[in-house]
Amino acid sequence: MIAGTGWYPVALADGLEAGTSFGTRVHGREVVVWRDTEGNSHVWEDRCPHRGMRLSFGFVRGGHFACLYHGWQFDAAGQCRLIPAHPDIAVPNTIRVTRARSVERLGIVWMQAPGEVELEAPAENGPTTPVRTLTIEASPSFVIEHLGSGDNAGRHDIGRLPVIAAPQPLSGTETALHLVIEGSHGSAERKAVSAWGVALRARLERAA
Amino acid sequence: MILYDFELDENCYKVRLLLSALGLAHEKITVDMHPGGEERSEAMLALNPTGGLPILMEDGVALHGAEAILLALAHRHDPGRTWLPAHPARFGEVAKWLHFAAVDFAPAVMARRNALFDAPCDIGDVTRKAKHALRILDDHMTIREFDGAAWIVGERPSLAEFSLFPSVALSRDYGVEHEAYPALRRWMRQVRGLPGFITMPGIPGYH
Repeated sequence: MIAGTGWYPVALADGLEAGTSFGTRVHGREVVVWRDTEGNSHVWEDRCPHRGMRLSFGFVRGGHFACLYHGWQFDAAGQCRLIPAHPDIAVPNTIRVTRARSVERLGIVWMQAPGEVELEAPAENGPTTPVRTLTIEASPSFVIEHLGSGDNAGRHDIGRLPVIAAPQPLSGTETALHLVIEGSHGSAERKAVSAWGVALRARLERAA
Repeated sequence: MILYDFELDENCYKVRLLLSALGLAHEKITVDMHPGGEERSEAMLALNPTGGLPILMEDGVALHGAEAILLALAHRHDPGRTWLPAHPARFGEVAKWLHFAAVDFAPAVMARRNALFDAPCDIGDVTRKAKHALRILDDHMTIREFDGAAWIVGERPSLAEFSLFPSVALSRDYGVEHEAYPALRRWMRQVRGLPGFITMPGIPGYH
């Protein structure tokens, strides 16, 4: 891995439905996260190479992503495949979106991005139960400091449930916290961990 | 039935959504809110002394306030109670969320008018309040998803969907992204799939 790059969580895999997309940030850099209709997830720079329009305003069309502005369509490799205003021209190979490397592990979509610290993508990939992603109006360093690192595998013991709490640095003042429970759990456990997250969010925002 | 309407107004959009879902024939009269300020003209104040839109005129009675109009339309034109549950507890919950839409999302309406039309307000304050309302709704829909439910109240979509969808879906107009509201992203997709769903400027159709 290149020094100074890290793997950052950007979404719960379960919450990213096939054929949908949304925009988010890592250290202020805007990315679009989307899942094609075959079920593969993608993380791209949130910028159309045409006019710089935010791609997250656009739509998934099968295996392609379409910009809202002029309908340019990009395939899963980020290569432009269709320019609707000129449907007959062969699109030059140079027109492509900048992609990030991404993986799904532990029920979370992770992307590789430049960062202050080197972070590994989680190696293990056991079954997890999705809870939720909370956005906290507090700096990433404050959230991480308060959260602690958990046990050796980064698990937190929340009411005897093994919870993975993966922080996403949105900006200097905002942090997203992705929560999953290891193993298979039901609605009551998900609600309990969600309530813990809501209380944590309130505590951190009061103190921030 | 006459709807006094301004296309860019999200409160008018609430009523247009229900009229479309019910398939109700109506006449639409465009009132130039911006830049004309026509909703505060003498003729319009005679229909709604508070000087706002939408206004619905039916059988010579003028109603104002989007949530009041939604309730009146459902009561009168939806005998199957498709959009307004007859069950007492569910009815109460729908009423609660309609109130929430009218009161707690009022700052979102002000923030959007400031962004689009330069309407004066304390933009920092109204944006903070709008984000608070979005968070409350996202927290609610998160819990609903844990129970396998897709809608704000009960097992079916209701008037609550129509009253809350516009300010959520149009939040980018007032500078609030959907990034922080994952449950609302999924809920918006459900609402978009409702029979009779229509868009407005700022809400692109899937095309």
